[in-house]
Amino acid sequence: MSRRPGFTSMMDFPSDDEIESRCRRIIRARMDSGSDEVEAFARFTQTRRVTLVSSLVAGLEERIEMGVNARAFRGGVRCFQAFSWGEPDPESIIISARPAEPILPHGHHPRTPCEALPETVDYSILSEYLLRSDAGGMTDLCELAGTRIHQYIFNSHGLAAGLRHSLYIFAAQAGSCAMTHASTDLMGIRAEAIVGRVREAEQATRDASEIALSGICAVSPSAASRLVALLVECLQADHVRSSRFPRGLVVGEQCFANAVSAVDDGGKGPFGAPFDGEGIPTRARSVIHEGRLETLLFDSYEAARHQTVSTGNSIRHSYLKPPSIGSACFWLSPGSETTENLRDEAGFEITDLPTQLLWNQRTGEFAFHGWGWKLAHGFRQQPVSFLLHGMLLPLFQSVLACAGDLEYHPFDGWVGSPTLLINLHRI
Amino acid sequence: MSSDIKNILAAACSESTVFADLFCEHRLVMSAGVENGRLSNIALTKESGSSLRRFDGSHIDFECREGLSEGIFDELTTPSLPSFATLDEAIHQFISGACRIRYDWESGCQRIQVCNTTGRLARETRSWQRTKIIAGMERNGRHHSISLHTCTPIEKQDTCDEICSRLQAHADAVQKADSLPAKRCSVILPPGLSGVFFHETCGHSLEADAAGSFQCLIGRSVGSKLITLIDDATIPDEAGSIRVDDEGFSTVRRVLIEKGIMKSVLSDWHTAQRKGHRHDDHGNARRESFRYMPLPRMTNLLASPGPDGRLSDIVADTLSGFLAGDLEAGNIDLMRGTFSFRAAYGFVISHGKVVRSTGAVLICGNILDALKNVDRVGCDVKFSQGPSFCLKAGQMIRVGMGAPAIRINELDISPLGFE
Repeated sequence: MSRRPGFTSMMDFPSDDEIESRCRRIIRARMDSGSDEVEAFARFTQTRRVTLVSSLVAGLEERIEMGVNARAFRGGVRCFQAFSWGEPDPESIIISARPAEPILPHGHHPRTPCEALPETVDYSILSEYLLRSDAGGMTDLCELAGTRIHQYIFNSHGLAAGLRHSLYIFAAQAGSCAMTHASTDLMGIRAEAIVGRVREAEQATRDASEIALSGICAVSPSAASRLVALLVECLQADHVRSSRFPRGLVVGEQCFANAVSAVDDGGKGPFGAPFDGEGIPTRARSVIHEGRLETLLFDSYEAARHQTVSTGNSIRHSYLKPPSIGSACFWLSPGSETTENLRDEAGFEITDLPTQLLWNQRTGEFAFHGWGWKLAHGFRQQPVSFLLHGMLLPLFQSVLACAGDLEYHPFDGWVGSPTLLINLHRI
Repeated sequence: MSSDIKNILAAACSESTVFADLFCEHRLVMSAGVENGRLSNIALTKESGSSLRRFDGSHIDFECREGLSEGIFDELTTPSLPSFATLDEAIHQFISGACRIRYDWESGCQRIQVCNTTGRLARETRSWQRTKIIAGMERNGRHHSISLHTCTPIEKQDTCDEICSRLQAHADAVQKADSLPAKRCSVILPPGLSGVFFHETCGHSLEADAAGSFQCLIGRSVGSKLITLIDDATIPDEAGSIRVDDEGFSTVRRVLIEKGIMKSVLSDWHTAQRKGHRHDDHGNARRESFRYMPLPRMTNLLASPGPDGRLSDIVADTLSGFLAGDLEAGNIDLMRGTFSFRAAYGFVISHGKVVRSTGAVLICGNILDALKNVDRVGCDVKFSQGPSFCLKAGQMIRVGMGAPAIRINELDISPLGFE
């Protein structure tokens, strides 16, 4: 290593009292301007990233985000204002609409912001860890980013919720093959293992012959997680209203193969928290049970429009955007088969789907360029690359079995899947 | 105030600093959604901040911070919401069966000030407006959703007429659309849509930080002699028009491909130094905001007009082929040099005539093969009416894409499902 990277100081974020007092002032000003309900959200993040290219430290990055936003409702009209913490409070936008039913949740949390995870990480560990793991020398590019997040939600119904959180994301890349892993625990990032998989992918894709994929395939957890991430998008309730919802997805009906069960739990995984982006407590919830679609994913706004209750799926990516529907942690339940048994029955193994060529949320149509192996009696014969193109719903209707090897991967949230056995004749 | 910024930059540099820049930004964006004639949401975001980047020859330090000292920028004025009534009325009048119309409107203004260690200090104010129109309609018992974008003010009668005619063309096509067998054939891209094709295939391949081996072909033939591609940030009032890039250097008109020969690539200062390009081979550094490091990006990518007349002449000259009616969801694998586009609808051409419309189609091919197989280039250059945005490495920026109608032989097309 030519140079040991290091960061100098920690950013001081505003105190809890200062944040609460400003958020309350913002809420009061909008209520005085005629809003029915108001929510204020403040977010402070400090992200540090170390990049290694071929063993050398190629970059150090630090980003500070400090901002606040307000969401006001009147008669179903949403008014959103976001501004940097240093900017003065902007004037309220007056909305002329008739009052409507309440949308925002009522208080579920104590007024004092809670500390979901202890903030004990010394950021110098970040660079030390990357160097010690020697991951950088094995690939073209390695990155380790650590983010310290403080976020607060208050609303006009008295709700107050706070979170202090640390998140680490490790990414490795060789050629066009890349892999990312997120963790709340720095030592839980197994850099060597991830880099090893990227190198295996890079070597295999170099020797792969292009084939037309057909028949029964075993889909590895990392490839299946990509498909599950698309499924999560389809299950967002706002997509029903905007027609971005594949036909055939009907709540209460058998929409998928019997082998498919899925669970959403916003409290689990590195992106998880005890409450969602609107302050609703998170919990494990069955979304698909043995192929039957049990529920869609709702935030408070969409729940009000569908005359139901939120499922705690409001996600905040930044203070600059209003919350959107998503999942912090969603996984397909593991089955009872072993991975080896599924490989025995398959003609191909889909190992990874790195290039998304097409995704149409309205029809559920997707296309990926991927790579994998031709199998014979469960053993890998030769690397292959292929175009996987089809409709998402028939794909999950063609799942024959699930293995017990559940693995998680970071996409928009934390998405998990075991190895799936899929009959591609039917998609 | 300029001297303050220069002093901050100077204080942040050390003897080992080869290059550094300080980027300050103040941005105000207002957006609104109108659904079935009723305002459903309105948003205002106001942010300011700065970022400092230092390059010492072997590695980069980058820091960004929210907030700026008072007086660096003049206050930005909040734009006013346009009236959607004229356009809404026109759409309902022209498009029979339009059952649900949604408008997503955005207007923004960004003030930047950037200085770098070559002594440059530049300021620029950039503003934009765009509207996305989504019309839902029932045709033959099926629900169709059509979306299009415009960057011109929607209150203008010309804009209304143009939007209505585009919606009508799309609606007519989907009403009569039939499926199409997968085949290899000639594909005609109308003016504007061909700009999207060149942006995704050539433009991204020519960005200096791109993976793949495309840039090794500099000085060599990469396509038909009919192709000349230029990146030009200096065209007034287009989506990608800027006076200075986000490292503080003046932008230029850069010829990338001339008569099929690759001439240059798109670069920022840092990538140009790293790759040993000529000292003036930069000016294409762009970033979404102060939160990001600049990357080599396109501004307005233009294909020069050719000798083959208008779109109708190229269609009349085609024995058998496919005319794309729309082009979206472009994707390119730079390592393999392959691309795929989705055309939401299109038309089958036989013996020089459009014989029927088709549903969605996936168009796939190899970049170099496709560029060599361009055998017709029209005279009618038009800028794309698409979203005018480009996403790379998580950064969304505004770009222009202009080109005349083109015909590409030997592309693979395969049918996709109906919406």
